[in-house]
Amino acid sequence: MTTADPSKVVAASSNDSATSEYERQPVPKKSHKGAGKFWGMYAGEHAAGTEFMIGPLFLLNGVTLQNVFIGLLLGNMLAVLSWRFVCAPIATKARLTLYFHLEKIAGGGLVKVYNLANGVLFCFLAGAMVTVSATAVGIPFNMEMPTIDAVYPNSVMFVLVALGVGALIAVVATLGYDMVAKFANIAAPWMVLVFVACGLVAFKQVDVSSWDELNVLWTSSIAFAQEGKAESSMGFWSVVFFSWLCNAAMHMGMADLSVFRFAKKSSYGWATSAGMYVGHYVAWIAAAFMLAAQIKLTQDASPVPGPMADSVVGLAGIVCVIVAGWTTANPTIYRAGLAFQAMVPSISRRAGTLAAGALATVAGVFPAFAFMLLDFVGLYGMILAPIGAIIFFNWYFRTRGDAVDLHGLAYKGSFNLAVLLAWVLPIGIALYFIQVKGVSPWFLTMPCWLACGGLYLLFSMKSRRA
Amino acid sequence: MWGSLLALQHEIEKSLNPSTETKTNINMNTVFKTLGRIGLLLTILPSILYFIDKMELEDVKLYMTIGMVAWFVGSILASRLVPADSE
Repeated sequence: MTTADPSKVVAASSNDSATSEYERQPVPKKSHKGAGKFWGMYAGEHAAGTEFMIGPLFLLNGVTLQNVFIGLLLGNMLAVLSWRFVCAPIATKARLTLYFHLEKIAGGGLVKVYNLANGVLFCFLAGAMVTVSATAVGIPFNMEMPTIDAVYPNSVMFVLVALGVGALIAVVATLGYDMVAKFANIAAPWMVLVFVACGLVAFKQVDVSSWDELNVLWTSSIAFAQEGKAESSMGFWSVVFFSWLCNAAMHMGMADLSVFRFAKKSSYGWATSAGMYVGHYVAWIAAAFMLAAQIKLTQDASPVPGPMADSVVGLAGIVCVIVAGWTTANPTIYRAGLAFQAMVPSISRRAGTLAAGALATVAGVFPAFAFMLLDFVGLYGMILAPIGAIIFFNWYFRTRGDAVDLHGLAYKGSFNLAVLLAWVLPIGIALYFIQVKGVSPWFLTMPCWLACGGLYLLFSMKSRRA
Repeated sequence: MWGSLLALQHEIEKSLNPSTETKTNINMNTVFKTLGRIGLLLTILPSILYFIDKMELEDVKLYMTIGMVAWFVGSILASRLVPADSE
């Protein structure tokens, strides 16, 4: 799972002022980047604080061991293919940011609405990261850790630590972006190795010598965590669709147009496999084994990242949880602050960032956002990804893959109603299915994406006739 | 995976280092980069040794802590990380 603004990530990872330009023009050939940058960036970007939560949640949701290994393999492959064949080809032809590309189709006003939706969702995601970091910061204070079913904070100490962590992240975010982004890039290779080390140590701690033994241990861990029920609320296809679409906003949703507009060739889309298989395969499985080891050694099924990492690799694990949470939350809050400022131009960027930080901090006090991360991440992808369908369908069916036509056919107003309706109608119906029928959001992302694209073509045809 | 990590480290070093390095700076950077790489080795090797029963868990935690310090000190000094305001 990644949350940082891709354009900023590229800019930050390169420290090249040229990469932060071209926000309102195609990236010229002289600024195209080599493949190494993309492989490195994706490997680091997907070793985020969220990985510490997502892996253990698979175990707690009763996913079988086979479904974890094979489901994640297939789902992550679909994610890589989406980046390679949906996002990267358009990015390397149009060479525009998502925002400028969308503005050409939907108008500036609707881009602000998209930005706001993005910003609010980012705040809650950052809140989950505040919770994750707080579980590590609270260890020296003997803080009572929240349990898996906790919705509200369970102690005054947890509230104080979460408020402190959130406030610190928000204040640092108001001071600027570059320092944290540079630090995040430096920390990334180390974090990836800590994830691998956590997995190796945890795997050793569970002390199994065959697949069958591992399977028995995994099943008994699920039974213990679910108090004897051993029920699975996530089957094979849930794992596949979740791992495919948890970053749907980036690939099917086209947010990574902002990254791949710098790529020399669309084949650089394969670089995302570094992030998917290091971060969303190795790290998730490693984190899941950390919980299995914790259950076996201490009979504690709380997937609290700080103590879990502490028990397997000590101080390095605690620091990794804090750094992973902080470097994920910080750009997220910064980004959300920019979105708020875009909606209310009269406030300063710092005020916008503080508002975003305050919202994230309040969310961080409630552990439910972290413990319900699978659903939240699914919802995040489902709401934002359909915007990518607008770009995809417009590119292939209206401008016929011609960047010149994209500019020629640009929407003249500031608020394209056809785009708004095509976006919100499928999402509204999907929300009904989630709330009333209990359908998991990751199953609705692709139907929403396809419906959004189709409705956009239909509505824009009608509006042209009118 | 190791290739991706080295590519990531290479990109970080390439992007953050100024182009007007003196010979002394280049030598110091080599020292810092080496320190950082030793830090990475100390981060991953102990867990492998623990996995094959060649190291105790307490030692793993100790070496990983040393590796963490070495990586951050080495890579931050090598990249001459300085605070910069995005505005």
